[in-house]
Amino acid sequence: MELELGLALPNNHLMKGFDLNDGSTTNSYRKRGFEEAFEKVIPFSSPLPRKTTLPLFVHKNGGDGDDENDSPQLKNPDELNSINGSRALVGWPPVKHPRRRSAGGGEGERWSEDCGSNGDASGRGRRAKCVKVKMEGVAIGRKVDLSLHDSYEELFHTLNLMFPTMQHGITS
Amino acid sequence: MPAGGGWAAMFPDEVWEHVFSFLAADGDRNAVSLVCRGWHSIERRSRRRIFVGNCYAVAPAVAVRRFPNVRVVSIKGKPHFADFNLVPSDWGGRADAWIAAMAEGWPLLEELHLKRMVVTDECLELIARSFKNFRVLALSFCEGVSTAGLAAIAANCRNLRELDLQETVVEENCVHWLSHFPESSTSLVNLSIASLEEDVNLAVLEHLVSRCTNLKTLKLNYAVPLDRLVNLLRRAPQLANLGTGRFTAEYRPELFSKLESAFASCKSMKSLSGICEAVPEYLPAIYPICDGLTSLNLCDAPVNGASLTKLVSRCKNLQRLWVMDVIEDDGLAAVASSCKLLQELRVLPCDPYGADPVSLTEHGLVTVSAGCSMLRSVLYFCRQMTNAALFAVARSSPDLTCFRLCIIDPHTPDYVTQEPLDAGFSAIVESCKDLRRLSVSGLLTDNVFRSVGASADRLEMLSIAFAGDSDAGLHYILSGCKSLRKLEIRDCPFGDKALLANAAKLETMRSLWMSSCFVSLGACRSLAQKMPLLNVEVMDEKKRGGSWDSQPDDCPVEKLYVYRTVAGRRSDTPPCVWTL
Repeated sequence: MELELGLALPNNHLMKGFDLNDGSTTNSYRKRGFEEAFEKVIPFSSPLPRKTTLPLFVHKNGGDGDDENDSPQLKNPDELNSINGSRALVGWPPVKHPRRRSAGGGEGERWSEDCGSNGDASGRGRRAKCVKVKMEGVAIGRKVDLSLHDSYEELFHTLNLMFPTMQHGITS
Repeated sequence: MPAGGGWAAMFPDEVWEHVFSFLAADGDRNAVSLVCRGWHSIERRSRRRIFVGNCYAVAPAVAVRRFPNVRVVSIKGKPHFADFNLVPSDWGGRADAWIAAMAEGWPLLEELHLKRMVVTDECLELIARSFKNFRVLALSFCEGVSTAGLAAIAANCRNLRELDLQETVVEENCVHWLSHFPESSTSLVNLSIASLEEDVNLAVLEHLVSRCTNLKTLKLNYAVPLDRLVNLLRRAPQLANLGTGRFTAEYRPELFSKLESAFASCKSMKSLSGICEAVPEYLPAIYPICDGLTSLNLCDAPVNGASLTKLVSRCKNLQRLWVMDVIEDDGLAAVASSCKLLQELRVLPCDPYGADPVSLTEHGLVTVSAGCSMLRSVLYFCRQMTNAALFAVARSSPDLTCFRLCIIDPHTPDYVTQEPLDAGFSAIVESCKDLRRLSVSGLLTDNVFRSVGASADRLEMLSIAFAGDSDAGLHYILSGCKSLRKLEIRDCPFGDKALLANAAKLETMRSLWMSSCFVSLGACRSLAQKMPLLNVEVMDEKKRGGSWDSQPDDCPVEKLYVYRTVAGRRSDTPPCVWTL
């Protein structure tokens, strides 16, 4: 299944009327707090005296990055080490590209998708890792190539450009 | 006109040309061209193939002028680490300057092999227009291609023998590109389109395959279903190398028997890949060709357990095996006892970030090494290793030329003794005298690099990640490793001192990559100043738009790429790359 990144306002239960998804998926769109998602992960100790940001996406099991599945593991201290060691590193382990189709998975499990003609020539540099982004109340979903972003801030900036109306909603 | 003086002048140029034509190795031809002016001139006029290991090492126009009669060209672009997203996506490696120069100077070009380059549709259209005898287009790990460019190649290259798109990202701008092969096009020997994401028109493909009676290699993409594979195989029983599409369908006995008989009629099949998402019920359909297979790639086929063991134990003549780690130690034991001719083994992680790892350990490697005496090349991903296991491999496979071991969690020690893996890797380099390529991982101190520098005399490419303690490590490598051509390092505490002390060594190498190490901008500046034949590129994707000139010398360099060149500074650097 493709990664789906839901962006919902904190009081999303009030917004159900606008939810473009059917009710069954609403739960998985629970917004992960910034802390829960990123801060608790200890950054890999970089030898360079600079602020390191973690890569945006932490794929598990071929990339079905469902929030509900990931969060409990982040809280497990053993998992933190493994994130510290390998999960959080760009280009490690050195695999050309994660297998697009995981073991026993069907066609529906393909998670990486080319951005298609939307990507500019320079953006074709690598396998695009596109996720669909929908904002509640906005009818048209957009695709974001996660591989072009290194940090939450960068992604946030891109999303701001994509959905200009949300600027005041989330910056708090 | 006699060439040179003395005894060389006794023969006309044509004779020398004929003599030189027996020299296959580029190095030998280079040596010949240094003997005298006459030989230099004969050699350059008779050179038919060139290999450019770094597209920025020489200017295209210079290469075209020196070798006016080239027919076969291989060029490489981006650094190897681009495969793992470590190189900025807009770094460069565009093929257009080369192709423009070739179109101008080499109208008789027949073969073009490009690796890790950006090849746009305009490039492909220019190729299609310019080279009348064009036969082979092989793009591996390239990007920028779309099916519109492929359509131009298909429509215009009347003698095309090979279209090979290994691991090349292809966008879909022309749905019916395959139908651009004219009806008269029957010359294809190799059609490898496994990397295409989109559906291909199967009826058109079947028609193309049936009229190309010399087709030996056909690699299909995921979109080709099992029942259409049957049709394709029936049309091309002469195939020697096959990459199937998805190997999954609801089990139907009549489809199985059709598939089995289609495979059985392919008597000359040597290599098999694809088999995407293979379901165990259909795997036995492959059995008829197993005995003839010398190469089997199961990286898209996550089969495991008994069905995998049954499959590999039938492949007695296998020389090359690529599998996922779901094969586990037991599966590798079956390989070790069945595949006595195995030369190359790759075991890749099915789920590199997985929480519950498969049961694949150092034992699998040791068993294969002990059981397969012909083993030359190993790429092995696992989660645990011991020095004892590496000793055993060093002992039983002294003829290894390539040993790439990736222990997935960085800094992992010998899990039995908790010692670094220095001793184990040292044993490998000391025992395997013919080692050309080495990747090290796990917990390693500078000591291992002392051994590598001292013993790995023939090593040409070395990859290091998360290893070493200090500059001494890098110094051992650069001051040793006589034959080193490519060195790639990430996340190691290596810095300025070792780099500057061995600046001259870098001129003898093709390239050095260092990312997330301890290199300062000042050192890079002195290196560039000291060594005018080196291009010293520093990269920082976060500095886009900022000025590098104003940065202080102690500014850390996130990514450094150093390569020798006779072309000087390149002109196509993006804002995140700065040539010092």
